Amino acid sequence: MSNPAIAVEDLHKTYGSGSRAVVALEAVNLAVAAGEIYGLLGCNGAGKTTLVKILLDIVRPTRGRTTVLGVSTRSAAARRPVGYLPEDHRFPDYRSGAGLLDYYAALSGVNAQTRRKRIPELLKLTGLADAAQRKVRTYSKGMKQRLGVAQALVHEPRVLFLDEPTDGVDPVGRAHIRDILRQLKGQGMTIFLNSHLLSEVERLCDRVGILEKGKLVREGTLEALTRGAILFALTTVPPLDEALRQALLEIAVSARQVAGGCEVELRSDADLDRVIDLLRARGVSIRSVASKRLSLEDVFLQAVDKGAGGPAVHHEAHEDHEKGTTPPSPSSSS
Amino acid sequence: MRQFGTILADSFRESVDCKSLQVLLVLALILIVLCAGTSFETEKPEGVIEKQAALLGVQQQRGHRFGWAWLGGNVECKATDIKPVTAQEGWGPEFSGGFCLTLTFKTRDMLDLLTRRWRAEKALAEARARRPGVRPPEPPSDKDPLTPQDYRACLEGRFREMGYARTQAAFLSEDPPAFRLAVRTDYPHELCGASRMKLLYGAINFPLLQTSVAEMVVTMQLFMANIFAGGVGIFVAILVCSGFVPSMLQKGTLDLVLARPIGRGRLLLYKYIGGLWFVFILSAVLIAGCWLAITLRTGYANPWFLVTVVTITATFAVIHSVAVLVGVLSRSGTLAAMLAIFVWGTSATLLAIRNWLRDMYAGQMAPAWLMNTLDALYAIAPKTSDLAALNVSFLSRSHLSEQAFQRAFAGRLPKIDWAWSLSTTALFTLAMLALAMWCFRRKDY
Repeated sequence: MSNPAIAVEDLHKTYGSGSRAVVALEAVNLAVAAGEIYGLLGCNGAGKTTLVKILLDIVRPTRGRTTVLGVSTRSAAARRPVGYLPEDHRFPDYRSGAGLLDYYAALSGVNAQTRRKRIPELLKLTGLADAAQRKVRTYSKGMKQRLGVAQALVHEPRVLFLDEPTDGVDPVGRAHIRDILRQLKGQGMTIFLNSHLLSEVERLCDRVGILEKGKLVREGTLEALTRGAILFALTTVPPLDEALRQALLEIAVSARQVAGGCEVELRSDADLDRVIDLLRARGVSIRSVASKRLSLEDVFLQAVDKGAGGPAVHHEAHEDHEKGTTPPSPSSSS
Repeated sequence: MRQFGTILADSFRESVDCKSLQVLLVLALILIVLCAGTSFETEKPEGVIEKQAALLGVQQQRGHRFGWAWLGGNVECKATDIKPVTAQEGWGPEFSGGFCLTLTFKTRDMLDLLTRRWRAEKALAEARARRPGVRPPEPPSDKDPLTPQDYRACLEGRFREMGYARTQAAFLSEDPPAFRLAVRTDYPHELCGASRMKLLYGAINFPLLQTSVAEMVVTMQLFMANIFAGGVGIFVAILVCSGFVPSMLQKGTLDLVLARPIGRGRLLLYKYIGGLWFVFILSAVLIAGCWLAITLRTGYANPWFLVTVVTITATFAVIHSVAVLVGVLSRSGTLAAMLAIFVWGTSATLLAIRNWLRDMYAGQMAPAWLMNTLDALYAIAPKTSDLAALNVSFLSRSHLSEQAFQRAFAGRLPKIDWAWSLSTTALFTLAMLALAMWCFRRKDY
């Protein structure tokens, strides 16, 4: 990618040292094109927030290079065209909504004339115009989150980092924030979205990266990620055990246990026969076989599974895209 | 510059939100009103001289920082025949405009007692002035015979100590001992016992016996600068401002600030200056208000009083640097305030002990290791009490004649090497700030 808006090269971050060292990021490389919405997925503690904080110079990397719009993030100038909404943000609650935006805009170097014009526009955009003069301490969680989006935009940034922007927001509020982000994308803004809400990422992002234990294990467009492999759901008796799962991994890209059977990701349709042969050879009775299109959740869970090397992790509900003759398996719909 | 102004304004807004600014402004206003309710009433010269004669046996002790000395508590003498100096009496032209009086002691023993005690005090003061901290020589023995010159020197000296620039005594009679004196002052407002002080717009009214109006004005100004603004005000300001940095460092708040295009060093420096700005504004309101009130009500306008705003802010700057460092390291406003106050109190105590040991007997009473340790600590410690002494020095010197300064304030001032004191204090502050910035810049948040 030439001239990426965000570039991360061989990024390492280790907190602490010696026996207490915790590796937060390991050899992460990624690039986000200008005008793109990039979603970074990962479990809690995967290193998503650390990565964003390094891109904003809030956390210093152990090794590696990061740039935003071609400027090293170690420089204060790199933050001039950048907006940021942190997770669990906390505003000085002695200010009004409008006063808070004015404060952050001035800190970003916006002149008074521009602030006077820009702040009412943003308050209107985020639906906070009526509460503009109210103290922030009287705002609801959803209002604070929308105010957070407004403060990230107050200096008209070209790159926006959002860390769990819809966290704790009701469905209506989420839809509102999604609309705002779509508008911004339409205006050509680069957006880096950190989330563990897969549905949000699926609906908004052009490209997705999956971070697991500090490593970027998958990356690509949504289509590429979900198209890259062939997934089959098999209902078996008895259900898949760990020994059988390991045996399947010699044929399949991934195999994971789900309630009543297993899901296997294959490189080609022909491999399905080999899987069935293997299962039959081990005395497993196959009750149904269903072809599935991979959802982002499947991709994520597979990526996490590989990282964890164990059975499926628990995850949030999402819209299923199953194509098959049998009812959806509990794991793919739960 | 825009970011600087924004952070200053934010610090101010934060202090407004916690109501501390309003409380301090109300307290300052009360003091300004109290100052405005203070005035002085000058008494007639004849009455003043009578009162001064009655107080001959009491003097403010010199060469020492505390209290009064009773030169002869039971000395009874009376001034009579008080009248303006005329050419007929033969006093020199330098007494023109002054007064002459006849001073009669009840007994010779009383005169002897006063003279011997005064002579001893004078010897002590001179010895200390020559070599500060050296144990003074034994005073002249009570059995030494006294000459008429000794009596005259004593009486002339005592009246000079009461604010007269020129005094001359002539022996009149031996029994009862009586003298004719001529006195003249160049600065009437520096005469001890010449005025009455009125507080609360006259509700409280009392005579100034051993002090002059000019000294009282300086004392009031020092109270405002060193006790109220420089003591109570700074204490409260530390409690308020120590929270500025930790509140910025709160999780969720700091990210929003650090994501702005502003360097961490500058950010911390601006927050630090935000605290100074808070104190500067408050002390400026208090000092300027008191200055105006004192000027309008008493007519004594000393513009140097306004300069104390700078020393008060400088004192706070020293202590606040400690609070900023502790705030960065601990993210706790309470701990930052506690440690800043601890450093402030400890350094002031250390300085007081060191100066006391040095002034009293040049450290000869204390073991060498203790004096060396105190000297080393003095070199490192912030010398905030020296800044208070700086206020005493320039306020009194600017407002009083040399004679009145020596009489009233010189003894209160420890011997200070100002260049050393101020530079090491500035270095301490810079070191605290540099350390705070270094920690802030390299820390992950």
